[in-house]
Amino acid sequence: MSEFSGDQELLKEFLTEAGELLADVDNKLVELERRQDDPALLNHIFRGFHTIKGGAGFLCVQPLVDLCHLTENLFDLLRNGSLKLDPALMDVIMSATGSVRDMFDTLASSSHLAPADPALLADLERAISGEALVMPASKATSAPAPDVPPVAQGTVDWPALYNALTGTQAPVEAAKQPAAAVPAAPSPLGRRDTDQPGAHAERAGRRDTDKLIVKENTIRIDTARLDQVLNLSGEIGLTKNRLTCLRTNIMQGETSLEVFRALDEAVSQLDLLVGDLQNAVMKTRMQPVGRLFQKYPRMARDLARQLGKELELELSGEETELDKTMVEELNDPLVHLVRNSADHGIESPEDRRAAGKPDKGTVRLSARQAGDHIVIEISDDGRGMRPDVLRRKAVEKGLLDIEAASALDDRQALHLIFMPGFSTKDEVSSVSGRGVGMDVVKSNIQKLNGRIDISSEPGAGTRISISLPLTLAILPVLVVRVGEQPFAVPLSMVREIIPIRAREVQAVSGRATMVVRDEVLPVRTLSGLIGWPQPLQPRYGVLLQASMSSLVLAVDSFIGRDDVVIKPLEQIKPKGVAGATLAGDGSVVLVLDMETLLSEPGHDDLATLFAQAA
Amino acid sequence: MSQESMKFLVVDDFSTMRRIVRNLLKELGFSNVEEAEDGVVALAKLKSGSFDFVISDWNMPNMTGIDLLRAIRADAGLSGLPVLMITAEAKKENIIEAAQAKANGYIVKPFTAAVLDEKLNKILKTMEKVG
Repeated sequence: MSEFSGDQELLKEFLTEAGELLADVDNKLVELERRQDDPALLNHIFRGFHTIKGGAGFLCVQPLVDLCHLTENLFDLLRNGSLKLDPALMDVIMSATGSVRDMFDTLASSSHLAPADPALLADLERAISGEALVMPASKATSAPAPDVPPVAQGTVDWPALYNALTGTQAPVEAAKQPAAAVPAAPSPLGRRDTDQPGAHAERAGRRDTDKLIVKENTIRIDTARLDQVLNLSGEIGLTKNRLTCLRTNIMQGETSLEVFRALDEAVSQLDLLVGDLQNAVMKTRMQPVGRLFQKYPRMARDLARQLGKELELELSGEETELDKTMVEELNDPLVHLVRNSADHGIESPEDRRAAGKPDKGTVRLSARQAGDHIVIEISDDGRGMRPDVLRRKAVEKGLLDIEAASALDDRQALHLIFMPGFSTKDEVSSVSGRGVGMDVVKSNIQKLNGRIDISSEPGAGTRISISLPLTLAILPVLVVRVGEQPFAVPLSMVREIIPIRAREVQAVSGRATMVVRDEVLPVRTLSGLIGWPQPLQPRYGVLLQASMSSLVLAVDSFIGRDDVVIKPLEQIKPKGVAGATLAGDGSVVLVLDMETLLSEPGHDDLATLFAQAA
Repeated sequence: MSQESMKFLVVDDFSTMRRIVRNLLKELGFSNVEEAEDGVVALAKLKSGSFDFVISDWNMPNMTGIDLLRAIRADAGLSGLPVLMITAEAKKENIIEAAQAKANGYIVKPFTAAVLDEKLNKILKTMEKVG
């Protein structure tokens, strides 16, 4: 029927573009729940399905065409006012978009697409023909499980309908699945069990691999940005020619001041151009974080319904750009944080009323650029967290002893939630609370060289902020020296550099400390952390902001800041070393992974060292 | 004018669709193709460049295909331009609306190169007769 059915590249492009369109439609649907009669909104959603259908037609994916066609017809009726939106209808629409998304996922990995769930299609048909849909009372709260009893929807006999439509024996499970449960649980919708008779387990396995393949390895770039790269590489070519020419001059013995001045000029120009080129290349990888954000309002809505809460997810700063890898890696942590806010943070409408808050909770997700960092914040106006409760929990769970727990200040106590095995909910809910979450969130963020911070006010809400570097390709570092050996420390952790005078270092319960602007900070030597001897008294301190605490890292001297490209060490993985880089003079500099280093006790005889000196 | 040098403007808000139409045109030997993502952009391009043929989608944000068609017919410099409308629906009222706005042809998605070829030739023949 069409000459494009086998064109993989076109299919990929379609899936990318249609996927964005669908995410947009999903968002508009959440808005639609609040503004049911907005004609512009209805028109927008109508056009989304219409466009997807048009593209799907050329690619010969009939099931997708059929599903979009029905949904589009439904929205046509809605926008011209001959049909009214109600909650039952909204559920059908939501499961239709969920089903379209499942089809996209399936298409990304296999060419065969089964028709949509006949129950869903029948619901759509019935809605279009003006029949009232019966809203099953329990479906908003019941988690979909295979043994959910068939939900009475009118008098339709689903298995019989399934038989009539497909001409096969209906697999009971699929027909039993209430349509509204679809968005909450990725069920094998859109794939009949009869596709792979008897291969139940296998199919489940394939579903997992599907997910892996879906990860995009193509990127859409504004041509203006690509032109910039081309331009700069041309300029660099010209400067290289200039340098080659100057080299010939110098080799031939021409050493006039003029030649050197020209050389100086060419090198500075190259310096500038390479910096620009790095920037431009980085820009081609930048993606608006909105591509990530736009999936969440729908998720928050489904969650709220599942939990019987009212909440709204507000987005801002969607246009903020981040490296593509980071956008992808951020998805899981953000999903987890949004879920946490909805599950743990926001209270039930009754509790909120009792606390004098509006029934509807608000979760805000925002992104902004702050200097050379991107800050992503997620805050809620929920119940907040109480440091004393967190301390007690940590002790109860055996993660800390009472002494250690009470030594933590409030901010550090809040950070307890990032400890492996920590979960404040006693009973595990289906949404979150398995206790494997926050520590994974934290390690994911750290993998991206980011920092996560948390603040909370009991009764008023919690705010979690994630600070990320603009790119992973180039890392700004501070190069310090232990003896003659240079080491690089990520600049994101460095607050300032201070001189260390022996008389300012005091031993408190056997540990060296220093008072910096009224704050008592522990002092540790870099040599001690890496197990080197420290024959001389360290002269400089680097004030580091680690995730749990601040400290002064004592070093012999420092060289300065530098932007380095980290080369990971293959095969050998020394603890506390993130990778290596080359210094300007060609020597190898190790880039330190400070968080890992600081988590080790190390052997510091610093107190004695200073005691002797003083 | 030789077929190969004819300059087309393909108007659609969905870039995959523009690529599909572009590929079909290429198959038919037309490789001078430019794209626009909605009626507003299309109209600006039409006014500043010498196009010979417009293939436009119906449903688009900012300015729909039918509005684009009306704007083309209302513009003294562009009114003679052949316009082929693409839509996903073979609805009678749509076809009538397009005809009343003086579309030169109407084609329903999905279509093949052969169908496109037939429509194009029909339009070009009629144009020759008139011109």
